[in-house]
Amino acid sequence: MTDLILEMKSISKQFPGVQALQDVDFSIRKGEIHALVGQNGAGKSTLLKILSGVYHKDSGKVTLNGKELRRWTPQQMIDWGVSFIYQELNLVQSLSVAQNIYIGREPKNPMGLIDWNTMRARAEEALARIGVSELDVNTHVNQLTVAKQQLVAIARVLDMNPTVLILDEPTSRLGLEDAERLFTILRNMQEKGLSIIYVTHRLSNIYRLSDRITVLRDGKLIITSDTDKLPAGELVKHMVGQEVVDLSYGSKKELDQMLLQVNGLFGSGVNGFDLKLHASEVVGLLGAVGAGKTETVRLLFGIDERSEGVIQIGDTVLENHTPTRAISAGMALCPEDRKYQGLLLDNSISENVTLAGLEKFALWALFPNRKKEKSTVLELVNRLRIATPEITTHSRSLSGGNQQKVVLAKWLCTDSKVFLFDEPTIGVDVQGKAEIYQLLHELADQGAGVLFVTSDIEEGLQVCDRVLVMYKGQIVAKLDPRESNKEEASLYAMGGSPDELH
Amino acid sequence: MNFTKEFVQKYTVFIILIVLFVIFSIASPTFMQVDNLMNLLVQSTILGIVGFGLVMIMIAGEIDLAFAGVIPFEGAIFATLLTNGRPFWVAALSTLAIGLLVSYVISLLVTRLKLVSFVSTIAMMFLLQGIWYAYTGGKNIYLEDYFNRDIVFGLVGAVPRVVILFAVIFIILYFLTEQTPFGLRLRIVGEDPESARTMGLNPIVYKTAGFLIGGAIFAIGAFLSTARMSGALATAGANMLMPVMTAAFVGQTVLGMSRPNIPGVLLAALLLGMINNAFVLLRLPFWSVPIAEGLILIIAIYLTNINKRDVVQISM
Amino acid sequence: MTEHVISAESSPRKKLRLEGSTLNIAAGLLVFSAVFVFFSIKAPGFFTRINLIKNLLMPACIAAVISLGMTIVMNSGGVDLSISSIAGLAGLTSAAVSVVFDVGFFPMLVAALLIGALIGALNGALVAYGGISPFVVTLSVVFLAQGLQYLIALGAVSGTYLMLPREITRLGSQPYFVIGISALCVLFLYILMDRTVYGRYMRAVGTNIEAARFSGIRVRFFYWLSFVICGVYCAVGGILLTFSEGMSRVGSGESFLLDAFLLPILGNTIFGKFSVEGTVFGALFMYMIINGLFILGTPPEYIRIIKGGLLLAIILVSGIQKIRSGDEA
Repeated sequence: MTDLILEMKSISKQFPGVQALQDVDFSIRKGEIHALVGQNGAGKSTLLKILSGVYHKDSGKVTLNGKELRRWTPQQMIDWGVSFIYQELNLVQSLSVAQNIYIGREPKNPMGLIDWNTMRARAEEALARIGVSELDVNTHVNQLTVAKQQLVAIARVLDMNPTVLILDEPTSRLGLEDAERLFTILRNMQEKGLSIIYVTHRLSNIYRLSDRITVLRDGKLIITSDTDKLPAGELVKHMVGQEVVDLSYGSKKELDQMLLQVNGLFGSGVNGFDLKLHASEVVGLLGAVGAGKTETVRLLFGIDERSEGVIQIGDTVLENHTPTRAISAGMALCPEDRKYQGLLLDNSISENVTLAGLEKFALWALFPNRKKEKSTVLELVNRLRIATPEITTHSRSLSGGNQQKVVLAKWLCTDSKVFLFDEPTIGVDVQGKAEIYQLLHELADQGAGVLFVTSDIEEGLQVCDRVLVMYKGQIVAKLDPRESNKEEASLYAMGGSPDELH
Repeated sequence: MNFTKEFVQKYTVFIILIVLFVIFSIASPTFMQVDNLMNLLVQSTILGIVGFGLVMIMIAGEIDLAFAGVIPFEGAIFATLLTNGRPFWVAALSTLAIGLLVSYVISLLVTRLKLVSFVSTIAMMFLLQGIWYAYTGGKNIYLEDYFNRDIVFGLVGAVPRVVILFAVIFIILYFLTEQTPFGLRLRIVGEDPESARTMGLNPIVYKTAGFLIGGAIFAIGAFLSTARMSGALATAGANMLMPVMTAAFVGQTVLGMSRPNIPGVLLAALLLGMINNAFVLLRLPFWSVPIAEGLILIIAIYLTNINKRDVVQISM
Repeated sequence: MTEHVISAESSPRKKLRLEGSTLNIAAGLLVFSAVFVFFSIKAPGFFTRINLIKNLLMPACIAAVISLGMTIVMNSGGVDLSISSIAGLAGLTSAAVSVVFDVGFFPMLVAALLIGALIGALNGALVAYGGISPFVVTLSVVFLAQGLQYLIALGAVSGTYLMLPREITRLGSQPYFVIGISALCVLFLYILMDRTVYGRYMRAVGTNIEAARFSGIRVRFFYWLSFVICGVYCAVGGILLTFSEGMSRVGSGESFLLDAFLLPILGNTIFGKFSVEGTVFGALFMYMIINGLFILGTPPEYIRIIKGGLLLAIILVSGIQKIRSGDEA
């Protein structure tokens, strides 16, 4: 194909203990929009990091504009016309739109001072080129909505005339109108010859924009196909694979007493969430990255403020609550960022475990009884099988799985009844995962209610008694793992509907 | 209603400046006389210039408290060299060289060893104060006729030379920080080093530049301070620490910019100078000056809500 | 899967594990002992009761008490530039109260503690609840305290020196008074930081305020509390200083600012955390060196250099340690 701008052939990359990419081919033609699709951990971000120069490939060939590339730095790749726009946008918030567009390329007057008028004029042109005319280039970026900020980021990148543009999940924080506008801009640029690599979990994006689709799974290339030759049902099948989900953990349950009731929850990233969590059940909250799962959990626990909604735990209605209130009402959270939100890394395991329930071990709620502490911690460490020689070891030195167990142990020292787990098995090995699943079910068996949040569809179906799928901040499906399957759940998570499966 | 409240919040300190100016003019007839105003300017000069140096470093996202140790030390070196018969330019260059050396060391500690600038420069300050004390025995070094004070404090027309110097430095720094690519990039490196890196700017280069420029300006401040007192005084450094920091911090908010900036420091220095000046004229009680300065600092920072941006990190 | 059991018998106290911080502590104690022995042999008069108590312990105690205030604030993740101002102000207040109202020991004590607590509460409120950077807040308080000092001194005696009644001075120059009160302070704070729930919470706030919040700790309250305790401790230090000198003047206590940075950081580097034991160790170590060198004839001018250089060296060491262990913020 002579109009191939970029070709990556047989790319392989290994990290300690995991083959992130194996013999992956990926190419992009001039003027095409190419969707790069796959579940979390499939290898998409590794591939792109190799392209951008942050990682080095172990083997394989990369050709840009016909020239083979050996080693390059991120700045070089940008200079060669391959630009990236990430979800974080990387704009300087306190500067104006015009300034952001021209940082590093500021127009100067003969005396070496910045020519503000030229900068403003050119910034307006840059915005006009992508069809944006209502933005005042003097506005500070921090006063713009995320959608507008994204437009500024795009204008900046496009003003440098790249040949290839890579976008990572750009519509995850956009509303319908803004997403539409983005699509128009992208199609215009495509007509002018720009090639676009588009990473997304949303079916609508894939089918409306892309010319070709590449699916990765477990580090391997599964298929590259023209979009119109690959219906959604088949796409999802390629993404999730054919293996049967092992449903050994969850089971159909008789619903017991209600522990947590949520009605009409609205907040940042959440557009209407309801939940009835009963004792002894494990409910899964599934969805792709950006679906609103973590945002929901944060609202439930009181970390973020909700704009609307009623949260009731047991008999207590929680009004604009803080985590402290939520905890005393019986809620527990194992947060998404277990290292920096769940643990005090430079403190011992023992100190971490007793942190939330310290007053229970203390004489007059003031003086911790060290003997009682120690025996309780030891008991928990054994029960949860936390692998450590001493309970005085700093939690920093534990493996991911063991760290997660420490966080769980912390809550076992309190009187929690409702457990929220946000992505508990990320970065945990197979054995550790199995142990965590087992622990969750023990909790449920003892009467607790568990909300299990994950973006791994298979894991969700495997572990939970019933499953809620979220998309764009709302629940789009309620599934019974025994009657559903990976494809159906993934389809919902990507914004599709059941008829697309057949 | 909203507009007015926001406007007031942003420009509170500026308003205070104006209000005080008016009050002082009314309360004391000598305040508005040219002589007195010139005197006020001169008093604010050293504070302002050293403040400029500190602000250059703050723009780069760091802080430097060592100036309270460097400046007396530089003054002592300068005075000693002069009184030992060395030519003026030797003394001046040596002072500058020492200042740049100290700044360079600090920049290495901060950019290469990733030490927190707050604590390292405090340590540097104590260390330099100690070195100074050992060098001078805690005594003043007088210049007497080794140095003609008029070079600096003599008049050109009605204006003392030092005020002209102040104005010149101000203009240069203003253009540098607000109107050049370098200034814009320095600001970005200070506010958002991550984005700076993504945009191709190297934070190490810019921070080092900030420290060096600051160091050079501190040297000028040392020279002026010595010249003014016709000698390197023992109290030069300690007296400077709090006022200069206040000027730098209050300067962030005076013009509603919520970030370290040069024109703000100019106004803040004038404000502080004015308060000291009026205290003498109006024979205000001794204790009211520091209280006024403390209140202004706290009001400035609180009302303009820049408390979120913590220039100084405490973590060791 | 093997059954993994660790039992109560495998207590770490029974084994000497060469983990990072234990090594540091051992090294620290070793150096301390070595220096002590060195001075005992080489410095005439060092190892005498009167020297050790009057010239080493007493100044070390006052410095330690004030530095303990800073320790607890740093432990919670903050900093307090006003500690020496609070100490000076508290001492001055107690002297003023005695001069103006002609009262005895206890009212003087109460007045000083009250001032310390109030200023600490002010600092804490602005920092923890107002969200303002502790650097700026405590910097302003330095100004305010300075002004207040002048106000009180001028108001009480229209001058800047206040002399204390003879009984108080006599009490203050009793080394056992100073050392006794300091010991009580050390003990109290040690119990608080190491043996109570509050101490654990404050440490959590300083280590990782977000994780502490996620664990249900009332972070703002405990951050505030650390400033209040700091204020009280500075006040105690100020009283000890005033009583032992027999007088107070505007600006007393200024020299302790350096100590208040040096001692907790020294303690942190050796003991691995901001702690009472670390700061006390630092105080004894520092003042031992000063005392010994002084006897050996080192001019007092060099003391500042030594302290400043030591602080810089410690920071360098801990910075290098962090890089070596691949620490990420």
